[in-house]
Parts: sequence; C-alpha cells; structure tokens
Amino acid sequence: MKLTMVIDLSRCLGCWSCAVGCKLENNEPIGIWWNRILTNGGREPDTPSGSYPDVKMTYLPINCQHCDNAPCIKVCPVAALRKRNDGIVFLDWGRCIGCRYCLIACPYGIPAFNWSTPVQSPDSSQFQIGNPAVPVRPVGVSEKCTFCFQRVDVGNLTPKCIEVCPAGARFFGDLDDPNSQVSQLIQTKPTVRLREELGTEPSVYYVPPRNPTIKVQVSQT
Amino acid sequence: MKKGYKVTTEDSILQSLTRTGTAFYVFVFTLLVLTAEFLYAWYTQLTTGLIVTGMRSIYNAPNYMGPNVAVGSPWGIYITNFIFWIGISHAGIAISASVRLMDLKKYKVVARMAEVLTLVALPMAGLSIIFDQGRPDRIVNLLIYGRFQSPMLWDLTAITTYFIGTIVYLYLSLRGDIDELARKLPRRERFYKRLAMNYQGTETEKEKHNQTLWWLALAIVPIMVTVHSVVSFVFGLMIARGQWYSTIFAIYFVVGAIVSGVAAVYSLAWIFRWLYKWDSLITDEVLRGISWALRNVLIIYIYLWIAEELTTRYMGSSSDLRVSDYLWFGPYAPIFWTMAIVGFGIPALILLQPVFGKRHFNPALTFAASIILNVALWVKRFTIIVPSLLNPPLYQTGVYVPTLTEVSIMLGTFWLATLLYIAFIKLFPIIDLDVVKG
Repeated sequence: MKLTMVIDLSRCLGCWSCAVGCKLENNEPIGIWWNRILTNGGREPDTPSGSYPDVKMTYLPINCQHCDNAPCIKVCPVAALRKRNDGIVFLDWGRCIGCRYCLIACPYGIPAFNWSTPVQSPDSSQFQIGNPAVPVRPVGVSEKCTFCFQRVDVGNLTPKCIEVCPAGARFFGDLDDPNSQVSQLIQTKPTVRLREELGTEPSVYYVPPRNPTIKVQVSQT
Repeated sequence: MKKGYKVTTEDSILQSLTRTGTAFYVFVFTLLVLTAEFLYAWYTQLTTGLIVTGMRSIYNAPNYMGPNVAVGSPWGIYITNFIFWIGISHAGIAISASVRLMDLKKYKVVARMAEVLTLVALPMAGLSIIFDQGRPDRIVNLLIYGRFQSPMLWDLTAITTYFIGTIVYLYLSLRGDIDELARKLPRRERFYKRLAMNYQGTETEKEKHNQTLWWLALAIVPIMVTVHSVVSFVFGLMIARGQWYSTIFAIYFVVGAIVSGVAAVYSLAWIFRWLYKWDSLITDEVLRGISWALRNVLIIYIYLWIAEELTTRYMGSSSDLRVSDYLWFGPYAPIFWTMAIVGFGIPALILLQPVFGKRHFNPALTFAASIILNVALWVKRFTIIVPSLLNPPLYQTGVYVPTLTEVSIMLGTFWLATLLYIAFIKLFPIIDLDVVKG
C-alpha cells in the first residue's frame, strides 16, 4: 500500500477550494494553511509573469508531499514525525517539543507552527465545525497535512481536497495497485515531482500544465 | 591598595575575594535589574507563546487569501545566540587543556579564566535552545523519545558531555586552591572545607590530580571539536535551503568558534589585568601570545569564508545564488558588508600589526579588536541562518525583524553569564594559585 496523490496542473483553476475544504476538515486555525495554492507567475497572487501580451501563469497547489525519504522525519529529535506503512507522514502533536526543525528541513516549506494559542474562526468552542476526529492543536507545536488519515482510515474515503476540487484536478489512490486511477495516470501521462533532484521521493505527482501561456488577442489599431 | 601595606602576589590574586567596592555593587545591581527585565520578557513569552517573537512559519498567511506568500523565518536570534555561546565556550577549556597537554607554563595564568568561561557559556547555550522551543515543558521528551538520527540530539549529547567534562576538570584543578582558601579565609572555612572534600595536599594526591587532569584534557580536545561540528551539522546537512548544504560547514564553524573563544579569553584577560592591576602576572608577552593565536585562526577563518563565498558566487545553484544575492546586494547588504569590513577587516589589521615587530603590539587596541570580533561573529552566525530561511525555494522572500521581547530574552543570557562569572570570582581565585608558587 502506497498512498499517492496526482495533481493535474492543466485542470487547476486556482480557486482555493481544496485549501478551504482542508482548513474546515482539519480545524486549521487562523494563519495556518495545510494546503496552499501558489501562483507561478507574477509577484502578486493570480498575476501572470511576462509583459503584455506574452504572459504566462499557472497555479501550483502545494501540500505535504509525504516523502518516502522525508527530511522532516530525519531531523525530528523526538520522533513526533513518523511514516505509516501506507506512506502517510504524520505529526504527533502530543509529543512535539516545538523546536521547528521540521520547518527548517522541509524543502517545500510545508510544516506550520502554532506561534500562539490557535484561534478558530468561527470559534470552534461554540460551534462544531470541521471533523471532530481531528483534535485542535495546542500552542507551540507544528502541524501539517496528514492526507486526511481520519477519512482514509474509516473506509474508502479520499482526502477532503480531492472531494471538493471542482475541476477534478486531484486524484488519490494506491500506487501499488496497477489498476488504481493514480497508477493509470502516472503510466499514461508525463508527471513530475517537486524538487525531485533532492532525492526526497515525494508521494505527490504533478501533471505539468499543457499550455501555460495565456494567448491574448491584440487588435491592431 | 593602601600605601605601606606590602602586597604579595598571592594576596593580589585573592583581592577579588577579599575586597568589594561601591562600583561592584552598582555593577551587580544594574545587572540584576536587567536580569529582572529579562525574566519578565521570558515570562511573557512562556505565557503567550512564541508569537511575541518576530519569527514566523515559512508560509503564514492571515485569514484572507493573500498575499500570495507571506514568508517568515522559523528560527532567529535565539538560535544565533545558541551558536554564539557554544562558540564562546569553545576556546575556554580547549586553551586550558592545550596548556596542560603541551606544557605551556607561560599561559597557565589565563587557564582558569578560560575554564570558567566555558562553564558559564555552556548553560547559556542550553538556555538559548530552551527559549527557542515552542513547548519548553516537553523538553524531557528529548530524553524519553530522543532519536539519534537527528542532529539536535547530537547537540544535546555533545554539549552535556562537554559540560560534565568541564565541571570535573575545573573542580579537580581547583581543589588544591579551595583547600588553601580554607586556611587563608577563616570566615568561610566551613564552606571551603566541605567543598574541598577532604583534600590533604600530599604529594601523591597532587600527582594523582595532575595525572587525571592530563587524561581528561586529552579527552576534552576531541570533544571540543565535536561540539561545534555538530552545531554546524544542524545547518550543513539540510538540503532544503540555499547556502547551507556544504562540506565546509563543520570546519568553518569550528574555526569560527575558536576565533570567538580565543577573542573572549583575550578580552577577559585584558579586563582582569586592567581591573586588578595584574600587569606583572598577565604580562604583555602572555597577551601577545594569545593575540598571535587569535590572528592565525582569524586568517584561517577569513580564508574559509572566502572559499565558501567563491564557491557560491562562481557557479552556485539558483537557491544558493538567491541567498547570496540577498546578502551581497539585497536588504541584508548593509549588515553583511559592515560585518565584513568593520567586524573582520579592521580587527584583522589590528592583529596583523605585531607581525612587523613586537613593539607594534598594543594590548588595549587588541582588546578592542577582540570585542569587535565577537560582535561580528554573532552577526556572522545571524547572516548564516536567517537569509537562508528567508529565501525558501518555491516561495517569495520574507521578512524577519526581532521584537523587543525577543531581544530582551536574548540579552538575558549575557546578564546571567556576567552574574555567574562574578559569583565565581567572588568565591574562588581566578588565577591558579600554583602560578605564583612556581
């Protein structure tokens, strides 16, 4: 069993649905996003690079890469970060001492830190929002994407980001099963992994965007 | 000293124990006030969390969807301070051990100052690490769940070993003096008698102590290299960031630490000489000898630094170059170039003067150089850590500004260290009494 995610960048709209779904599901406090959508383009979000009319823009949704050779697991001094047999890298926030070495070691900048007592909006002490199976983190510990193991473990549920993606850009499944959707995609389409040269062996595959250039029709006057 | 009162050298050494002036009380009171301020700042941090510092996660976006990438530095001046104190601690016992191993009798006069410096600096390094933890209440997890694959655990092991070695070494070298103090200062006789643990002062006993100390010194020299190497591995083994992943780091850090430590020992020796008028004990020759060592390690350090910069600038990877550009031409350029020119260039020129003849050696000017060097090395560690963290690949460049609370907590280690050092010189002689016995 090797849980894997494939993200088709030519389908991604940059709508942040996955990030918001993730935030709700996992009770993420204000300021922390396990799932982010970076813009490959200009300096500001949702802006293209290049000068008019030759502009270029794609989105890069980024969450924990669940590396097979994870730098964060290597450096964690108290083994709060561990890898399950199915490939999920998770952070045990009951054990974390808050040294933030995982933030330093992660090449993808994924782990986030609870600098203050987490504040939920709306206040989760009054309303139950999100999944009650995901405990709210205490102050002073790191947290990161878990591939929604609380959902994966109960049955054939996929992570929340897969479920909420309106463009069908995200796929999830077992890479060891040759008939699974992710195995089929990786076999049929060209895929890349982020910063592959570092040898971290990420479990998240990206299908590169087919046409990142936005064609702008210029009417000559 | 009153006129007509004949002062022996031994009395001169013991004057720090016997005489206490107004200036002393004013100084200690100031330090205590500053320490109280530090304790308040630390209390604030413990109760509200690390949000009171200027550190932030790599991606720490507020509640709205943008700016695209809000980036901060997850580590800051606490870790800088940790490396700084480890560096200071470095030379201390190493100088003392070298004096013993190589039988450099001339420098025995500064050996104890150096040992105490190590003893005071190491807890400050440990404290800096505790400041940095999000959950200092869980620090014991390091012992329960500690993983030896993590460089953090190497640090813990090396530092505790070094600390225990230092305490044993200092105690053994101090024991004869404590026994003598019991006779010299009758008011504190019971305290010293207890502490000397039935020391008799026989020849066999002295011989045994010297033998043990020799072997301990032999063991401490490799530990001292290890301690700073593992500190460098915390960064040098990380592939995630620009300018860190490099073989030179261990050597670079060890040499940097020796510069820092030798400079600190020089500063201390000069301060004591000036404070207690020990010109005949800590002679110009001793000071020149220390400055000679300082100059040589400084040259090696600058050489390693240039080699490292050249490797990056000539054909570095994009993430290396991004950090380097940030340092050389970006927002950190004023800090970087001031540090390089004022912090390292000027002290190097001062230290190079005695090359042209002994008469060019100026103890006071060299003292200034040794202080500047330690400030510059603090900044150097800062420019090694923070720019790399502010320029994470895939993300945009971030901002890190330490807060006042953070600076107060960081400075707290300096007040505490000074207080501990003062406590030591009020209880024990800072120069080995054997030195004057010949």
